[in-house]
Amino acid sequence: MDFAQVRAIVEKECGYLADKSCIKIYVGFSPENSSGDHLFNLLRNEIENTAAAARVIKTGSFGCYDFEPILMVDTPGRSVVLCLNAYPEMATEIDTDTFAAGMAKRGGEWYLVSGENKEHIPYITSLPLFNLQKRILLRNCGWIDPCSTAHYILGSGGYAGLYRALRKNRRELMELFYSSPFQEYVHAGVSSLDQWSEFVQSESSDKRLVCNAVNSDSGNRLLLQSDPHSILEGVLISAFTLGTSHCTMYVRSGTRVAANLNTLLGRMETYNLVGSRILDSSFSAHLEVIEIPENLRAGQESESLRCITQNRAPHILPTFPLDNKAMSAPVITTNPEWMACVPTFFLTDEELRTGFGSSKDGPTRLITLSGRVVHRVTAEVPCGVSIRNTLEDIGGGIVSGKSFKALQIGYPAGRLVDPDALDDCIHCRTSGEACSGSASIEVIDRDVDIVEMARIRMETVNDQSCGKCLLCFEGSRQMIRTIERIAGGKGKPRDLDFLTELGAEMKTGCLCSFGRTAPDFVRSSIELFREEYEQQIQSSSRNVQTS
Amino acid sequence: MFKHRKSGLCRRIPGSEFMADLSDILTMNIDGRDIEAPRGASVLTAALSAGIYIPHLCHHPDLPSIGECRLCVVEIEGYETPQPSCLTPAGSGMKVRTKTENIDRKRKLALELLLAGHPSDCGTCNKYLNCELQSLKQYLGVEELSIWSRTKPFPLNKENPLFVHDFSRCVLCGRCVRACHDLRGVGILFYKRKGVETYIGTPDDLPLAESGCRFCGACAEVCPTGAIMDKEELVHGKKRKNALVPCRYACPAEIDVPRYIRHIRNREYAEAVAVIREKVPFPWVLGYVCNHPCEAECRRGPVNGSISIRDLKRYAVEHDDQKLWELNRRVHPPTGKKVAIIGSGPAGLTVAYYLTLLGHSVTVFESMPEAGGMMRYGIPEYRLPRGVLDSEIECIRSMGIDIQTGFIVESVETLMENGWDAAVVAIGAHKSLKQDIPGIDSEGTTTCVSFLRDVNLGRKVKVGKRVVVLGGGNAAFDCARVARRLGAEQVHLACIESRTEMPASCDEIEQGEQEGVYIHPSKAVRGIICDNGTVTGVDFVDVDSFCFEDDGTLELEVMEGTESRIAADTVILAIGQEPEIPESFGLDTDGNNCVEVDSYTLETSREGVFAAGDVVTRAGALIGAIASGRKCAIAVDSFLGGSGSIDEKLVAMTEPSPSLGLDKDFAILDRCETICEAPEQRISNFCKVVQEMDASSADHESNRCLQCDLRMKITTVKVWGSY
Repeated sequence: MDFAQVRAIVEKECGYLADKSCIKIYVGFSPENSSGDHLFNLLRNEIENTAAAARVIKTGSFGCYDFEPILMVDTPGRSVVLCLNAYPEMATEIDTDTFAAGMAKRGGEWYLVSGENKEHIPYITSLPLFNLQKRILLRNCGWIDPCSTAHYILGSGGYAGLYRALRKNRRELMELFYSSPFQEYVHAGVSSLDQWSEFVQSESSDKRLVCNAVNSDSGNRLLLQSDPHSILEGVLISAFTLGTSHCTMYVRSGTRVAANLNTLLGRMETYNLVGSRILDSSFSAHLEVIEIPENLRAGQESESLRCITQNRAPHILPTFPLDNKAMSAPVITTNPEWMACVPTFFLTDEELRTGFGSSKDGPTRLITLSGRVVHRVTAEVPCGVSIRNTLEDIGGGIVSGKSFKALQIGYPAGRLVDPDALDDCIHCRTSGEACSGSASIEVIDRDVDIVEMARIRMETVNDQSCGKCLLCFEGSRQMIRTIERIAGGKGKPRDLDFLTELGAEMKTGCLCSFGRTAPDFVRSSIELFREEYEQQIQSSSRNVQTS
Repeated sequence: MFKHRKSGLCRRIPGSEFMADLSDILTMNIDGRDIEAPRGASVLTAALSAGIYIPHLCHHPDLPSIGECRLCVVEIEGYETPQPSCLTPAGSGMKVRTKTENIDRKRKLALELLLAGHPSDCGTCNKYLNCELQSLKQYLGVEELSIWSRTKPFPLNKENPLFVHDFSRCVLCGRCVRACHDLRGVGILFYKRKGVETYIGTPDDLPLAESGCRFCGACAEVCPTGAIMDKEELVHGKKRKNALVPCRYACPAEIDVPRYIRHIRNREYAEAVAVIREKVPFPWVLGYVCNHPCEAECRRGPVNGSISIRDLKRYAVEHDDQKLWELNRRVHPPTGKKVAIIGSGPAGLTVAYYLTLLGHSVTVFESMPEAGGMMRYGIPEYRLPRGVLDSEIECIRSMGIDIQTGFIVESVETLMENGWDAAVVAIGAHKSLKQDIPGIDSEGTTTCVSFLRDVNLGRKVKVGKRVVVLGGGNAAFDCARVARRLGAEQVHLACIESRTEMPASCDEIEQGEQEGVYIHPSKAVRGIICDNGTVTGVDFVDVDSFCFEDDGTLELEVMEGTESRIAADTVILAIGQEPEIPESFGLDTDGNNCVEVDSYTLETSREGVFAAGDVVTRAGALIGAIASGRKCAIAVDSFLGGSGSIDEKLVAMTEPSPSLGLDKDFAILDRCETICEAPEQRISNFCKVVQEMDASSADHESNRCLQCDLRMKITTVKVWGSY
């Protein structure tokens, strides 16, 4: 089946997308948001009861968690409007002639995305939340149904990229990759594209491409929940470029994401998008989704590989070079973020749904704001924007107007930076540390107890540690215990030296980059906020003296 | 070629600048000493080979290094921070320092982290004084921990066969995981999480047998602490090699069982037979009638049944068409010495064989019409086909040994005066023990030895309709089953031992019962009832308990009031045998009527006269007699001025591959039991009872072997005291 035939089939399935008389309502929310489901069901019932010419579609999250559920109404020939913070009551007893106008009567913050502005509502781009974002990776999040391949193909130029890529040869494709702005993406301390060149040259027939989606951070998780299609397409295009037919994605078992991916794969097979002779080309690839059980530790690249190759791969794999004797075949690992941007290389600006009108230039970063910030969001920000802008304009500034104490960049093992770093620009070329592919910025204000936060962070680190090297696993446990003692009033002055020393050891001695970045929070917190620790230690010695 | 943009972020491969020197040996300097190291070695292995100790734990010579424990850090000139020496390749001209203040501090921290999760009570652990962690503690002088310590809450897991897991003692060195995955290619052990602790477990935490474990013992062998150990009862009190490869050492002749089973698995039957023949000259006979002490000790036993080693031996012999052993056999040049051997049983013929190999001229004197001893005149034909026996005896005779049958030796003295340089008494134990009970000499009673001898000589032997055999050993069963074949309608077998204590082998008991022998355990004979001097029955009383004193007398406790009688017209006494040594031999005997010999040289009280077999040990097993024959041959050859070395090399020793591969169902492969003819067919004739094993059973059974000998090949880690 070639692409034209696929399009014909999906057009029948998703005819409503092209139907000019059908109003499309998109309800976008992340799985944690319960009122989104409620709103969706109410709307669906309304439409059924009134037999209106409309269709409600459950899309994934936009990334603006604090504003969910988000309602978008696309009235063909008229306008596309968006409502932040929609609530279920808006869906009852609405005027079915003009959904949007009807619902707007009930309140809510409405913005115009495109089309005529009869109601004189503000443009979406007037909101810095959206204005500053350049949504390339997140282009589809909130716009398409994550469970429907058909919607992706029709609504967002899905798999057009794959179709075009299959018509090029590998040399051209590698050039495209090299010249894309996203070529700066770094993986586990080594430049991705250097790894890719080595891989392409390898003769082994067993080489494979792996996408690591276990233990994802918020940015990758958003993509997996809301736009798994681009990831899948990206994996296929990359596999073709690299010349391999084995692709594996692995996810935590028992999650909605895992179930969805399996369903999507089934559909893709019927559309001849995966399997043998994809889209009638000579390329065949099979894509496997493997679920990793909860208690099997899948850390960085090395351990991930162990899991996916049915535990036949060596359990400690150096990240570079790839084709060493211990490993039977070379493997490339990627993450969902990298894969999601690959299809964009093949789409024109017009085809590229960039969400809110920005053009296709990258590179951008997915930044998740959390902590004491007004709006918790995952936003896609172009490189060069300062952290201050991101926090204040997209995030809405610090909660309750208190002053910044510090920021934690990266989670859970990111380092603390002090407010002077606010004017730093967000870089794309990271320093090869873990969890800095999708940066998360946690805002800490004066009310936060750094010592307690350090303990919580180390607990998360220890929980995610795979246990293969003692420094990371045992070291993080020792740090937790020491911090507990300090917080509990039993600290001693040499505890800080111990933490620093242990941290320095972990930085150089751990086997993977997760371990090497594990002590960052504690070390940077001691550097910046030593007096807080010392205060807690002194209070304990004072207690000792008085008792 | 694609444009290759170096981002400058590649991790530097340590030591790359030292690789300029391309010769195979390079020189480096460690702690001021110049040492040589082969190219490709790590700094750690280079130092250890040169006798310089660098503390290490996760490193193991047979496993790939991972640099996990951080104990082996050293300072290398040109590097900012100390490097793990197990991961750093040795480079020409490298300058390494293994002991500095900085390194000591780092090592102490690393060791403390190892000990932090480890229980502090060394004394209660079975690995005490054999533990690498303990020796590291001593070396680094860490007695008190300065950091927080805890005991991991893992319970002792004894659920698996052969191994005990105590993960509260695990230090996460990862050796077992690497041994399982990389060395053995099996890969069933993984790092798992349980709450806040990490342990090593199988997928889904299934028992080892259900996860595809090979029970090869590599994990227990490499574990440096007491986390994975052999079950105490399997190794207690034994020397290491006896406990770990028990089949080889349970065999009195020390046949290299794992090696020949490996050949059988590879369908190399000629090689398998050659391995067996390196130790014994009767592989075919043993394949029929050996009592297999090896199978009792087989480590597969606790898993799901021992390997059918005897049946595999028989299969190999019957499929050997190359006779590799014969081609590779080397007969020494004639020494001119003459040795006389009295008795052509298994012991006698074994001595004959080995002495002939060593170049001596051997003559065997046999009182019976044909050679073979108990193999012919004791063991019935249905257990050991005469064709098999004849063929093996012919192999020995054809070496040029003179076997004179029908010749009774009166005096050893005469022999020695007639020009024999040495003599060996191997006349066996052919006198039945008699119990002093009333009616023992009535008409219709006979003893085991004379009964079986008459049958095996081809004489017409009459048995009545109802036979009672007294005794619980293999000889008693031989009598009982022969009696059935001779037409007895009812055969009862009674012994003082209980069912589980009966010394007969399980297959004898089973086959006997199938053939209609009624077994009455725990019965002691009160008396034999006669009428007019002819046997009419046997009176019994139930046994409560019994034991044999040191001097052989029986202490019996009976339960009064439990008298019973079995009607019989024939009684066969099979309660044991002892040697009957003629006075004229002039040899000292011990309390059991056995020849007294020096326990090392097997020399009797007369110089130049040796003894072997049942005449020394009083009715042991066939394999024991053969082993005794070997020992005697060594002694005789030494006496005659030879080297006393009878070890042969009949087949090249191939190094087995340490990689076993994953087989999920390995532990549930069932044992192939011996298949016998139907009992109805069996009792009307003396044809052989066992059926042929087929090729797929041979493959299946040999594949079940755990290959315990591979474990002995794993390098033992030397602790600091050896450097």
